[in-house]
Amino acid sequence: MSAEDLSGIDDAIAWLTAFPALVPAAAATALEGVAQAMTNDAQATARYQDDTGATRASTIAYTHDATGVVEGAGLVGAAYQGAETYNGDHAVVEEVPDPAAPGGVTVVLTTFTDYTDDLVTMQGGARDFLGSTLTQHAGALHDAATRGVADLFGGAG
Amino acid sequence: MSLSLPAVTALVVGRLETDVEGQAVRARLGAGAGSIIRAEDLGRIEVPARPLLAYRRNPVPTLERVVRILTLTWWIYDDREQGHWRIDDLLGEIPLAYEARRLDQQSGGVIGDVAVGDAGEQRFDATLGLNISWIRVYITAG
Repeated sequence: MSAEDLSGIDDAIAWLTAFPALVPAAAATALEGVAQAMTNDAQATARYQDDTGATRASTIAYTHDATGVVEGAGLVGAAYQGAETYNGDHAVVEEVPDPAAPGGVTVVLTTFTDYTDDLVTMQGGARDFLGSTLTQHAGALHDAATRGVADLFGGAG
Repeated sequence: MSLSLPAVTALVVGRLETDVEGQAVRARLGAGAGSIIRAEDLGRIEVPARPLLAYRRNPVPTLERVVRILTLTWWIYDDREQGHWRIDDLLGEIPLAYEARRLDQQSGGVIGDVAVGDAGEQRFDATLGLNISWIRVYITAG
């Protein structure tokens, strides 16, 4: 239900009561599409050496909220398995960070290897494919979150 | 107003490389301005005397080809046996160079706020065999 579907005061009260929970859900749905695009771009990079294939196989962007991974939990597991399969000695399970704000939604872009930090910093960021992907999609993330919430109001925005 | 990428990049680098406000930073480098290089040259040319600064302009988000924010990272390298004390000194000195005087843009957009921060953790670059940290300069259009 969006704001434009309300037909009476009871509907309005019910909608406003549910609104705090609707916002992150709406944002998460919209952000999921951007996360998929981020995964695709980050996996297509040629910025690192790709010796084993573990980094590429375990690169993923996903959304999560206070309840955990919003969508694509299976993909997160598959990404970890990618690191485990191609370079098991360096596969790690990263802790999912807390959302930036209570009730918020976080988009995570990462790999499940223990050398991710080195890729970001070595040679003055020469192999940093995560930072460039985040920057490239920053505008799309902002627009998606805004659009998702605007849809709650019937698409205004 | 859109920022000019080459013009603003030159200003940000010039503040440490040639401006008088960057003299204190240059004094802490192994070979003064000779220890300031582009990050793309790391691993391609002989590494200058440490401590050294390597700069890289970060990817730029644009909206309809308008550049409203530009970020540049100063990567600070030093010999491993020196630990991080000289790097830490530079992390403290670099922001002062930008605070001493506003960057004065002659062309290519009006510079608004200039912020320096997000100093990095203490790390070791195994590729170069040097200790490393970093700090970022944020430029927004006026």
